[in-house]
Amino acid sequence: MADMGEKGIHIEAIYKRYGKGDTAVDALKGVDMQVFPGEVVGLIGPSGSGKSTLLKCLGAVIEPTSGRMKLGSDVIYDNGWKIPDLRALRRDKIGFVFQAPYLIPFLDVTDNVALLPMLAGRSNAESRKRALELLEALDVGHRAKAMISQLSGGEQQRVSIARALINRPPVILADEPTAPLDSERALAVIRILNQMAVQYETAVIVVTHDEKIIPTFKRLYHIRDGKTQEVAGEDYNNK
Amino acid sequence: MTLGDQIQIRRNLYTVVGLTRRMVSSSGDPMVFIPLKDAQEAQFLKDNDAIVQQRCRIAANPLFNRPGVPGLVDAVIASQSTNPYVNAVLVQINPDLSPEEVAESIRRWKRLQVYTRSQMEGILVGKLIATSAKQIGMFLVILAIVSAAIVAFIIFTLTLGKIREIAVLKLIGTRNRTIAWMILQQSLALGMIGFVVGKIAATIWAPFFPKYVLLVPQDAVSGFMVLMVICVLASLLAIRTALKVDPAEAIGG
Repeated sequence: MADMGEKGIHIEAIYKRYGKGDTAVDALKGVDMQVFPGEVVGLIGPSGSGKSTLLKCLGAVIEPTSGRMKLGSDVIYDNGWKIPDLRALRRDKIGFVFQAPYLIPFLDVTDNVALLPMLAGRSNAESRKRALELLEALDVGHRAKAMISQLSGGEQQRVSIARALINRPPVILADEPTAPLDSERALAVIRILNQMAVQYETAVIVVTHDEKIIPTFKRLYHIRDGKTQEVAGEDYNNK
Repeated sequence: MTLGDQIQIRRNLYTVVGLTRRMVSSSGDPMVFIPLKDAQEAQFLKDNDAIVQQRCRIAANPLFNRPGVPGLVDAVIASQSTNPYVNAVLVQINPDLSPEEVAESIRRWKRLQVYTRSQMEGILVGKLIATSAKQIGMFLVILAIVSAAIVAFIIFTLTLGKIREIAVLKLIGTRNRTIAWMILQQSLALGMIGFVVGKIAATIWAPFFPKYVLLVPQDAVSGFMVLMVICVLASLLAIRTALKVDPAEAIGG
C-alpha cells in the first residue's frame, strides 16, 4: 500500500455497492484519490457517475462496501468504520459547503458560524470570537450581526464557507458550491476556497458541473462509471 | 353606578344607598339587594295587560260572580295578587354559638329545612356550580384537543419545510437531541405567544362580558402548565419526522 502521508485526505480502492444479488448496483468501483492540505481539487463527471456517492462516503454519511480512507493521520475507514462517533467526525474533521447555503434563518450570521464549535462544546465567547475572525477573513465581517435573509447569495455562500472552516477541519467537501452564482461570484467563491485552503491547510474537494470554474483547478478527478481518473487542470482544459 | 343614583325595578324607583363589589349570583349574574316584599312583588307581579285579562276571566266566571254574593270577585282577585311565600331566611348567629346546634333546634321546633353556611356552600358549589364547571370543562377539553391539533399541524408543516436544513444540521454533526430541542422550543414559543395574547385579551375583555368573569391567578398558572404539556405533545410528531431525516439528503440532488 502506498504511503498516504499525514495530512489531507487519501482514499484507496473504495467500492460502494447498492442492493444485493441481481439488483445490485456498483456505484463506485475502486476509487483512488489523494488531496493534500492547501489544495483545491475538482471532482467532475456526468450525472449518475458516482460523484454524490463518493462525496457521501468521504463525508462519512454512507458506508463504503470496501476500501480504505485516511483523514490526516487517522484511518477512518478500512473495510469498516474505524471511528466510533461518525457524527463527531463530521463535526470536527470535515467541513461541508453546499449548492445552497442552508444557513439557519432565525440565527444571525455570527451565530450561524459559531454554532458548530458550540455544538462541539466550546464556550459561546470563544466560538463567536472565532466566527468573527473568519467572517473578517472572508470579507463579510461587516454583516456579522445581519440576519441571513438580509445577505446576498454570494455573501450567504461566504458565510457557509466560514461555517465549514470554523472547526479548522483537515478537509472540506463542497457540493456544487457555485451552481446558483453568476460567473463573477462563482470565481470569487473558488478564489476564497483557494485562499482558505492555503491559510488553514485544508484539503478541499469541489464537486462541480460548472464549466466556468473548471479551468481554475490545477488538479481534477474525473469520475465515470464509478472510477476516477486524475487529470491535470491544464490537460482537461486543453481538450 | 354611584351612591344616590336612581334605578327603576318594575314599577318602583329605588335610590342606591350602598354598593357591593364582585357580588354575583352562582350563575355570574349581577345582584341587587332590595326588601323581601319588594323583591317578591317584582318577581311575581304580573303586567297590567295580564291583570286586566285575569280580572275579565274571573268576572266572566259565573262561579265567582254569583248573585247574592257581592265582593267575591274582588276577594278572589285580591287573594291572587299577593302571596305568602318566603324564599329563604338568612340567620346570623352569635360567634359563640354552634351553627349545627342552632340549625338542629330550628329543624326540630320550627320544622323547617335548615342549612348551615358550609352545607349551603356545598350545595352551591357541589351542585349548581359543579354542573356548570363540568360543562365548561368539557368545552375546555375540546378546545385543548383542537389547540393541540393546530399546534401539531403548524409545527409539523414548519418542520417539513426545513427537511433539507435539518439534514444539513445532522450532516455537520448536530445531535438528535439538539434538533429535537430546537423543534420543542419552537412549539413552546408558539404556546407562550398564544398564552400571552390570550391572557392579555381575557384581562382586557373580561369586564365587558355580560356575566362576571372570575380570573384567578391559580387558574392562569394551571392553564399555562396544561398549555406547555399540549405543546410538548403536539411537537412529538414533528420531532419524530425530524429525527428520521437522513443526513445524506443534504448531499447531491
